[in-house]
Amino acid sequence: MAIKTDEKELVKQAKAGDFKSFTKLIENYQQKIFGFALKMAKNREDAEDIFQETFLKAVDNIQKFRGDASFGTWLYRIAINIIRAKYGRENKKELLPLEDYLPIKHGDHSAHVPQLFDWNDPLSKLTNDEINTKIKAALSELPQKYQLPFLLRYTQELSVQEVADTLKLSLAATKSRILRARMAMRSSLSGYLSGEDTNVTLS
Amino acid sequence: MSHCRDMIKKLADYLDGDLEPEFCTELEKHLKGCNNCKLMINSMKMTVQLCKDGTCEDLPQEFQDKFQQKLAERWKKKFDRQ
Ligand SMILES: [Zn+2]
Repeated sequence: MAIKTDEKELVKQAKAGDFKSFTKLIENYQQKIFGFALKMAKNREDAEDIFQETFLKAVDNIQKFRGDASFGTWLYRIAINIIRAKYGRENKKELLPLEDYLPIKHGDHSAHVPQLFDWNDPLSKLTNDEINTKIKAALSELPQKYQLPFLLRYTQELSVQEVADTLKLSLAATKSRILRARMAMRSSLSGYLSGEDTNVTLS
Repeated sequence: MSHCRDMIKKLADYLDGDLEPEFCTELEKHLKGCNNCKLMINSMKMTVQLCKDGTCEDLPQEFQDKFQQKLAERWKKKFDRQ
């Protein structure tokens, strides 16, 4: 990912000690990093900490930024390191293999059948707050190695390539984690929305 | 004969608009006759949409002000030392 020219110039000025350039450099990323921290953090206080630490660390390490990744990628990496340090080793269940999120073949009585129904109906009865609470709960069940690529791709709107760069993963691994996370999220939300087990057998 | 499982495995690429045209045609044909796959695709789309919708929350001004101040102090400390 090539670094943009004006960004390159701002980085140069910032490295020389110009605070205005640094402020300009981070301007476009503040809201993004805050949104990301809110999604990853266990509570609001943690999210504010993660946000603040990210940019203070960026000040401390600006000389180490070499520009082989974009400035945004560099910031996300700092934020991710802070999140990892803060929450340490997690004790979450590994996701099921992708196969288990797919509709079952006839005669297979796996317990993890995706529930298929029209979501519009249950969703129309929920408030935004209720929906957000359910999403937060579903997200918090995802192990970080799925949570991160999923959020970077869909809420931070990075391209798959940018997600791969940020997390230092191959493109194939990135795609596969994003899909598994998406299927797992779909499955959790289905469970919350339906409240019952409706097993469906597909071809 | 197209099976739902094979369809759904390739879905992510389809949803991201990153799929060979032949598969798109095959999928669209399958979808015409398969309500369950339609429900699956819609719920996968909505999963992402719902996560996107909940993201927006502005930085509170008061917090923002304190943050700018801390940032400036940190900057000063760093560059005054050099
Ligand atoms: Zn089908």
